[in-house]
Amino acid sequence: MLNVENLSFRKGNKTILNKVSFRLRPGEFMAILGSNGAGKSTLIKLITRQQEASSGSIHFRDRELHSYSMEQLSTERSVLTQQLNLAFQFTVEEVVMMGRYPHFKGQAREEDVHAVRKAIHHSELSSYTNRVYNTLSGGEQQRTQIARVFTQLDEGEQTSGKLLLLDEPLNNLDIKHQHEVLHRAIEFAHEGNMVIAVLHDINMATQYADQILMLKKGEQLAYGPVEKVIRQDLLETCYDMPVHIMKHPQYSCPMVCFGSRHHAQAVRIKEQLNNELITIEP
Amino acid sequence: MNKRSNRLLLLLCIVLVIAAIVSCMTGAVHVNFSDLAGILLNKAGLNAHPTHTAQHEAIVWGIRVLLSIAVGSSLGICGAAMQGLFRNPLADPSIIGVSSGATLAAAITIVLGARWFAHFPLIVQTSSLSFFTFCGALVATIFVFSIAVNRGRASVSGMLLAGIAVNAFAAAFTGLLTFVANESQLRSLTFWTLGSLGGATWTSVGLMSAVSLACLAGLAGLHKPLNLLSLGEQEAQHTGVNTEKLKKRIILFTAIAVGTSVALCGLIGFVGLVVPHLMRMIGVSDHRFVLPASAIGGAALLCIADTTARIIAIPTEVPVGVITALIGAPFFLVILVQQKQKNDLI
Repeated sequence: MLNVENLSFRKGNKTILNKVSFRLRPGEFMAILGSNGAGKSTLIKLITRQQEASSGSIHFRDRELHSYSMEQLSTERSVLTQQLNLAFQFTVEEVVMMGRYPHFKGQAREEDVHAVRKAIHHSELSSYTNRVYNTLSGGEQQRTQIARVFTQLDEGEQTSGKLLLLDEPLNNLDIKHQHEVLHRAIEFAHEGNMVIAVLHDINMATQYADQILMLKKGEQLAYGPVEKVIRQDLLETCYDMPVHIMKHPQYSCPMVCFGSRHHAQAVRIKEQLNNELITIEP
Repeated sequence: MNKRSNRLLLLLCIVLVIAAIVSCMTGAVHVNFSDLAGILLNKAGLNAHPTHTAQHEAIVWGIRVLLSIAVGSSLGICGAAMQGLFRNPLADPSIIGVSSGATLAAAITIVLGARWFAHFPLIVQTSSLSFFTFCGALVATIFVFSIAVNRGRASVSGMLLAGIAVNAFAAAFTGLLTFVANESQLRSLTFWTLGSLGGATWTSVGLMSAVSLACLAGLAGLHKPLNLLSLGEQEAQHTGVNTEKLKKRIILFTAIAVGTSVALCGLIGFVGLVVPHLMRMIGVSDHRFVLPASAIGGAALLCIADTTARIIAIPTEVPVGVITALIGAPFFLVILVQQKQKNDLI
């Protein structure tokens, strides 16, 4: 279980994050939503100990997060950051194998090689195994990094109680791979693990997440199951935009459509352009 | 490590052995292979009827080869570790001020210290240069590192910037000392900045070998954290690497190994910068290969450069630093162009 209580982070006089609390149980997938500058990445940095909280506490499996060494945490939680660049020319297989480094000393074992192959297969990278990472497209690089963070927590049949943190995992991915990554994440959660993902696509969050944490300018706007948090008033406050919520035509989850204040103006310009084109034609 | 990496390491070892044998036999006095074999067997207590002269034995066991291997391997592996730490193939040990600090200390000792040490015996005069040079290297590195530390965390970019500032300051001060130096001091200073293995003694070889072995043992095991560091510092931490400890370890070993080599042989550039880069281009980027390959490649390059320095202008000797650049630079450019044509990867 991950228990975050009244977590705050201040930089000088500025409050970046104010009294954020949530409780994530094994088997749950939580999406963090919020506009730019809401404090989503800061929250991830606090949970990963990249930054020290000004106040509040984080308990992982009933123990203060700070009581774990980095080495202990490396096999219990993995983190996908937004960093994609690699300093040197490694192959896809070598990058994914780096996720297994905390698990072995010296040579990689049979199970490490198996875990790497499995992760590469899940990410549909089997034909890229020996390709140099830096020559891949942004989406392929993202899939390689996702394979690496999944393989870091792979302990075969006994993988449970692990924590996976994904900071904007859908960056650079096409729609098919976006769904596949989140499908893999929820499968992983339902095996008895915990997943936290920072997402910008609300409809992806409503389709896959069990819980949603909504932030605005460092304040916790809402936290709870999807049906309770995806409300017109909350979303409009969060994003400062008109919102329409409907039911997904195929699934039972809500679907969110954003209107734009500039929409009417855009339609008018489009119509005007169309008229002009029509008049030019002989 | 894959088969290709193993084969490349074996090839590098063969190149090093051949370079060392050729170096033992070549110079102002030629020693043929049977004499070389006889001397080696005799030293091992296996040759009952030695035919070589005492002069040949002194040349073969003239220890320059050992010094070149110790210095070259240290410079190579330290360069590879620094490039890994800075996540930059253009980094080398001089980036943290170790070389410029040593040069400044050498310049102070040669130009200003001449008067202070004039009344001391020659052994003190000679060893004072090595001692102060080593101290200069350490002081500059510690200064750069302490500037880069903020709230217990050393910033890599901070180290880079502090290193640039210290290098600029030390270069300016060294230039000032060069300006006020007399002709003899100027010659010593110039010769020292170009590097030479000519001053090899059993003491210097023993000291450099011990430092080199410690450096190889301390850095060769860092292949996993250095690989992870290429993902980024945060990513390495998430995978269990104590990056602060790693930085201190690499900086410490580099300062001691490069400081000692500069103190004993003067400035030998190019090896720490180009050898690791070369290894990445001909082999793979995995530090499990790059670290040992850079050590062996650095030793081989310096061995070949020293042999060339001895034979290129017999009976005199060309500074080895000039040769390392003359051999390495064109070779590096050829590989670079080949790589560019192959896959546009540089």
